Amino acid sequence: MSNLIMNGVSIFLGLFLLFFARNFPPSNKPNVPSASFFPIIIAIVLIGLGIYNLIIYLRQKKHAKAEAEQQTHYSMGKVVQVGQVIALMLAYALLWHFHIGHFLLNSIIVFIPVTLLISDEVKWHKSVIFTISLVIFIYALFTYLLKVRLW
Amino acid sequence: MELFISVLPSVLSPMVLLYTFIGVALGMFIGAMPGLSATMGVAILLPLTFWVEPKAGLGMLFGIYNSAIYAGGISAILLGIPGTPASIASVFDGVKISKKGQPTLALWINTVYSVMGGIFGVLVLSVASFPIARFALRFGPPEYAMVALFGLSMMVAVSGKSVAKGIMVGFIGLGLAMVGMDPMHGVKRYTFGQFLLLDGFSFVPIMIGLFGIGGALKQLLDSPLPDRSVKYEQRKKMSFSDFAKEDPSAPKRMTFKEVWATKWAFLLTGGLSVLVGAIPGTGGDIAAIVSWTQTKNFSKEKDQYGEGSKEGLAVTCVANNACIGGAMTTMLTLGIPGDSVTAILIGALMMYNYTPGPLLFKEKPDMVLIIFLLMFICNIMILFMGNLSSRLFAKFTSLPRSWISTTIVLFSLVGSYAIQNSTFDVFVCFVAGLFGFLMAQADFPTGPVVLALILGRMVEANFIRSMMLPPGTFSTFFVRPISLVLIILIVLSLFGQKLFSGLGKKLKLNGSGDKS
Repeated sequence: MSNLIMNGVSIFLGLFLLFFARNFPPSNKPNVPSASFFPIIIAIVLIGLGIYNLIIYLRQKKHAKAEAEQQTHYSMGKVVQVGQVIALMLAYALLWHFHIGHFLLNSIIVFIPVTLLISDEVKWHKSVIFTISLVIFIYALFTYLLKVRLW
Repeated sequence: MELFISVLPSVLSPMVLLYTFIGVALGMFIGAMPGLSATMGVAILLPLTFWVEPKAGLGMLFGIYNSAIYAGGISAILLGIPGTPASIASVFDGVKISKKGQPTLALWINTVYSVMGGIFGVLVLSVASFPIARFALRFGPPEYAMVALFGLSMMVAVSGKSVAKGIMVGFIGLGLAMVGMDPMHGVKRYTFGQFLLLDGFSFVPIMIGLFGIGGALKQLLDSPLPDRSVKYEQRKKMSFSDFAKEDPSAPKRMTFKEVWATKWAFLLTGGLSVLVGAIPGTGGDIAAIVSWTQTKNFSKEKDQYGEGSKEGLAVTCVANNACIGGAMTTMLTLGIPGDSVTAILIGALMMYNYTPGPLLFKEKPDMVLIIFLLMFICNIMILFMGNLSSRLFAKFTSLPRSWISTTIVLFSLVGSYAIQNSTFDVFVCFVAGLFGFLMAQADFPTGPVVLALILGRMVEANFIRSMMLPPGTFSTFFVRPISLVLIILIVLSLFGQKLFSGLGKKLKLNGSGDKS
């Protein structure tokens, strides 16, 4: 799946670069490449390689279909776990971007579930204490020592 | 010499030494933890260095780099798990020595030979870099364009994965490097009116995301789901083997005679590793494996290699750290990163307004000397701290994974914000993290993206400048000898392996045909 996404990203980025590169102004000096020269070359290579890798991937997948199905089933729990962590990180970035809440509170609210989600530890209170200490340490380090205004 | 004497007091100032010490200690922690790499360490801790003077900041970064590479050997020796990719070869003999009841001896070899290798690398760096930089001053735009392309092609060639995947990832990096003001015509490309994108994507948040968040997510997916029916203490025992037991009668260190006997192996390994390190895209892992194999062929005790040979372990330790000198030589003299860590270091130097390349040697020779001295001091600190606390750092490997991953993710997000107080950078870091995770999952190499991001603009700007030179055609690149040699090297690095293997097969076929 990640292979498929990577090839998709490559093709999409290629098309994106190509689409906007058409509108760049031409070079005002003879023999000197314009601003769109490199983006167009990069776009063409990206699209070509994306399609090439996609064909190879689909060919390989056809051969090992049964194996792949088994693997997907095996790692489903982990994929869900990673998805949850990514969703929490995205929520954190959005809260930060829109200046909702305070750094300390938001970090604790978001990262306690993250630590618990990925924890191997049965004693959950240890994870909670660790996360709160970590957030306070980072806040103190950046705000007081490095003079960065967090939130 | 006068310059050396003038910069020495500033390097030995308490603040610089303190930051270097912190860097060495953090590097030892990062290196000893399997799954955390020197690249990840330097990337996520880079924002902490922007608020101190450049010397202190660089001292910390070099400390992390050198000691993380060294400390990777600690877990390789005691647990059989390489702490960093560079210490893969240390497992071959390190574990066997440890299992013979001599873990203290193995750790002593790791510390002393890593430091010897590191100092050898620094010496080569100090001797070779000034002449290389003087030679590189002759380079014009065509040579620079080709050097940058050569760096990219080498990264793809030695990425160890499929060349097509390497090229694709490299071109994604080049695509990202196209964002921002065009270096020659001043055209705004893909900025969509965003002021923050005028200078292109900020390099550091991408690095932090790729290596910090991407690495943490990959680790999370690779670790097995916890079986909560089994108690944590029991699982901990299953995950981490007991530290090697010490035989009280076993020697704790090598004698001077034993060390002297390894002098040729040391010189061969040191020389080879500096050369390997200087090639863009290689790293300590390749240097160590190549050195171990080569010294085995020449060694008197070749049967002992892989069975707990002290010399075998010593050469891998020398290789890991000598390689750093090679990578730094390429980075400082040509501005081309030797590996992912030096790519981040280029970003750090640029943040401090020092652009690596031959001009740095001409305009800021004091800074170059400071870098050499800092590298040397890092190695001396490793010698003392390594001998005193190797076992302590090995015990950190039993820290819960969730704690480490949470720390990495939180540090990455806050660090990326702190660089410019910009939430846009937090998003860049987050997206780069997802991208890094997908790349690792799909078995795509990360290195080419990093290199392409740095070298993309260098290639473009110098290519266009070359086209402005007479005769104003592509032949500019072919009529200049250095540029032509570089073009040949680029073609060989990308297609040489296939070319030579195809040729070899053909020769073999002809040979068998003759016999029949």
